[in-house]
Amino acid sequence: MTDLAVKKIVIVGGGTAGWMSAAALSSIMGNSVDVHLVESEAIGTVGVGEATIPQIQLFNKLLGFDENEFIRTTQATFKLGIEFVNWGKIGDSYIHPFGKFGVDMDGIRFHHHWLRSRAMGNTSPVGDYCLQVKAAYSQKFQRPENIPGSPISNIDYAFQFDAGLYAKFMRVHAEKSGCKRTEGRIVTANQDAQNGHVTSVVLEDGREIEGDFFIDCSGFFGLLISKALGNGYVDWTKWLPCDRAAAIPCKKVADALPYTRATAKEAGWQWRIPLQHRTGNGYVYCSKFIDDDAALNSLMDDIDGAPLADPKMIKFTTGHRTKFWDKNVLSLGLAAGFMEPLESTSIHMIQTGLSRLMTVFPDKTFNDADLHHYNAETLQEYESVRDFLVLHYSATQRDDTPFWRHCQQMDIPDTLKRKLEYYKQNARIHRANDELFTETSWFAVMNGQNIMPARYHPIANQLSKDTFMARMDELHSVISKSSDYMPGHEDYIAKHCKAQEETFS
Amino acid sequence: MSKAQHIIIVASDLSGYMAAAYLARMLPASDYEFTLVRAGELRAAALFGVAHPDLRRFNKTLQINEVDFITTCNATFRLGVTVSGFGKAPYKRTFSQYGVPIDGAGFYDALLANNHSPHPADLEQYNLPAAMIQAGKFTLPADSSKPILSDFDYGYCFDTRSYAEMLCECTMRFGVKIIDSPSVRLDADNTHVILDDDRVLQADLIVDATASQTNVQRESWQDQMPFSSYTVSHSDGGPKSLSLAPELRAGADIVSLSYDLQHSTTKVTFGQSGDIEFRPGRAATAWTGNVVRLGLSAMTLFPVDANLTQIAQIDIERLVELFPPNLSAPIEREEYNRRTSEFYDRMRDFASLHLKTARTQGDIWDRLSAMALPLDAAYKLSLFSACGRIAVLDEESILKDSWHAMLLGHDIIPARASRMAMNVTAAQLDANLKRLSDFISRAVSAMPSQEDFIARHCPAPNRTSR
Ligand SMILES: Cc1cc2nc3c(=O)[nH]c(=O)nc-3n(C[C@H](O)[C@H](O)[C@H](O)COP(=O)(O)OP(=O)(O)OC[C@H]3O[C@@H](n4cnc5c(N)ncnc54)[C@H](O)[C@@H]3O)c2cc1C
Repeated sequence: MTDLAVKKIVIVGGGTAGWMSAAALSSIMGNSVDVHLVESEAIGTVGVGEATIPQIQLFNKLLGFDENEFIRTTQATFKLGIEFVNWGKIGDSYIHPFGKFGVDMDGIRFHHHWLRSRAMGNTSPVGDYCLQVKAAYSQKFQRPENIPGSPISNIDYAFQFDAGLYAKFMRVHAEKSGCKRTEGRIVTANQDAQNGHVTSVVLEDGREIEGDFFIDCSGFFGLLISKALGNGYVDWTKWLPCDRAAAIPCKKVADALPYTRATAKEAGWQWRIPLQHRTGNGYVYCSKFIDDDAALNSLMDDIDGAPLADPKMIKFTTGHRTKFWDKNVLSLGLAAGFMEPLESTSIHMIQTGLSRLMTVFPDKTFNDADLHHYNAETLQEYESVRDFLVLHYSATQRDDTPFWRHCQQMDIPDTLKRKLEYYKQNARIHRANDELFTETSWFAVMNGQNIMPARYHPIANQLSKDTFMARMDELHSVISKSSDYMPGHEDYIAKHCKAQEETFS
Repeated sequence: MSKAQHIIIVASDLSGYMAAAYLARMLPASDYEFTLVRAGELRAAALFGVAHPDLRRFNKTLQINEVDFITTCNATFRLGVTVSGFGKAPYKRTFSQYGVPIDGAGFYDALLANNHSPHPADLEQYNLPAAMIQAGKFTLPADSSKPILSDFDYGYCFDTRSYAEMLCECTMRFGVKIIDSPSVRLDADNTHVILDDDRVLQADLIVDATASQTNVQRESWQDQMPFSSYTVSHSDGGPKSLSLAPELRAGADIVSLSYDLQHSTTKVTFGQSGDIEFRPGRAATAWTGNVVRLGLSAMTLFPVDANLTQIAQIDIERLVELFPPNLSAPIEREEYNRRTSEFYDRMRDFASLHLKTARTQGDIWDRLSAMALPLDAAYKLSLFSACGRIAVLDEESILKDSWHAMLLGHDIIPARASRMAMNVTAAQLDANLKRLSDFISRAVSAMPSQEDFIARHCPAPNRTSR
């Protein structure tokens, strides 16, 4: 049993994916394997990727990070959700929160009850029943506090951080746990003549690094998974047409908001990610509908502080590798695939890739059953995230530019069609295979972009009108009171996790 | 919704009674009318007499008090199932996990990495309910979060007929009309129920719990579960000591399931020459037109996990969850059918692997061990054999721990342990095992016997039940 054990893991690439893998593998697998990372300063990293979702807390816990130290080191702020501006129609906005709306009653989701109340004349938007939404708009934040029965005991949150500092933080942790690092540019990979497995990578200066198992984190290049093993790429541009991004950090001009903003624009959308020391901005656009110069101008018009660096122009193709894991090469991060950061999912998918890897950690036979399991689950995850992203574009009433007209007419995946149909008729939300985005998320976006179902769940009529309206009022006031109770976001940071000084990456 | 919609439940097995009570409890009385048609004597009563912990949730929703339930239904507590004759030694599957994770590694991985037997028969001292079954001791799970002591779960063995009567009382409280009609027919377009006395009832939805799968397109599972009939025997008076787990026992050409109630014992023996026909399989679609099939009219499963009542409950809860606001051609029907078929097929996978991997001697077992598995079951087996992982598929309700115990109990040993376990040393493992078994044996010795517990809290009157 032991002679088949993987002894040496080589990680190719030192971006977010590479260093997260290095930190996780070297700290979890301890001394039983050597972890070796190769990266090239000259090539550099993508260096964007600053907004996360709450599951990142699991990763931090697993690796034993102190959360406040993590926040200080990465200049992080807290994130309660994402605000979507101008997506349904120009002038609309809604928050997709990291927390539930209201409470489920009689075994059915709150949104059915809210729909009933609307039919009875209630004009409060559904966000009024969600603490995260209320707190986000009031710029409040605190971590959950054990107050039985209060929504404050249940505050889910994520972070917005500096991607460069995050990779450094991971690196320090990985090296502390024994990960070795080599600087240099990889020019080729050697493969076993018989089974095609990668046996080593060769650097520009002729050095050769051998390994049993390779994790390809080389970014869009896909050095091993694509260049060496020849895996193709499944292109999803027909569903998610954006293919470029222009990113630029700017000076912080106001208190950091506890949420990310995504504003729909003429040919794509712009993110705004507030950190402790600066604000991250980027315009994700479709090159068929706007050229790079116009996109850059549009980005610069819509930033609220002075630029702190030159803009970074990034090209991408939305989609994924035909196989995420092939032979003895597993791809993670941009090497595995890419979907635009509209719902901040990429870092999360690195993390789920790692945890999936840990559950089926291979031996040197690289058994088909394990690979199959990993690839099938990963594909399912990609597809479900894809559908959720496509929803944002297809559920628009905008027809002010050719881009949005294209989105309205665009064909959408059958799985999404079914979901929409299902919601439109009876307010049902169909969630398959434990997919990442919950009923709350699907509802937030569908409702936020003005899709109105024809009916709601019959059980919502169980309570008598008066009792029901009294309950809804009470819920509303609990949320307002809870939000009032919470401290301001900046105050909370100042008290618990203020970064020492401005550190620029 | 101007006019109330009419839902008729035709009940021949327990699932119909459960459905009538639950639907009437959950759906608003202002919008629905219910009729429960009791179609003859309760069928397959013995098969439904074993409940998973889920039934407690069900009873709570129906406001059925637990002590009332136990005393009325002659019930005993159930902590799992004892499986004999399938592996090298009898073993137990309970509703909680064996062992605890050790230094971040799964319990079984830590055992495998240190060449310790992972067979559940060798691990009873590391699973609280298994040790309780062994010792005949019972107490309720601790309510605050005390590790181990609050982590186990229990169901019941109970008298199905008494429970059906309790459910009828509930339904009446919830405004359901009850009609007795030993035989029942549906009209050609499945929108009317025709009673014994030729009365015709119009329905917007018919719940078919007639325990019969005739006139339905079905998928047969006879190859994977080759037992075509069963016999039920009861002995009254009750055993001296009450078992906390039904026993599933494999013999040369039979499998039996036996369980204790407070004052009687029931034994169901499956084979080829029993009194009652048994045809494993499921309806191709559970909900067609206006008719939703439940219980044995939807699927007949070889009950290796003794879970027919649980299956009926989950089906009913799913029906309520997906209950359409408009009953004509509802969009939810397709989703109900998709999920239900998946759910049934997961049960089928468990049962077919359970039978196929048995190490029992006999013709039937030889045939079973050569039988081709359904694809999903084969995948599960190959993944587990390679690395000890359980592939959890959509709509799976069988606990991961049950999968582990079943496969390991039938001597399917993974080729390798997780790498997370490589750091667990023998000394660390031994220390953990010792601590755990000391804790469990101390906990069990402080518990009352099940007989004493029942006598103190919930004794059933000693009357003869069937
Ligand atoms: C516009 C944009 C916005 C994004 N926003 C978010 C967000 O808000 N939230 C989120 O979760 N994710 C976001 N992402 C995704 C996120 O940035 C990536 O998932 C993350 O940065 C991981 O990148 P990576 O490590 O895979 O690749 P990279 O950062 O590109 O790293 C690749 C590494 O490989 C090395 N390398 C490449 N070739 C060689 C070679 N030949 N020899 C040696 N080394 C080599 C490079 O030096 C580098 O170290 C965004 C991505 C884009 C493009």
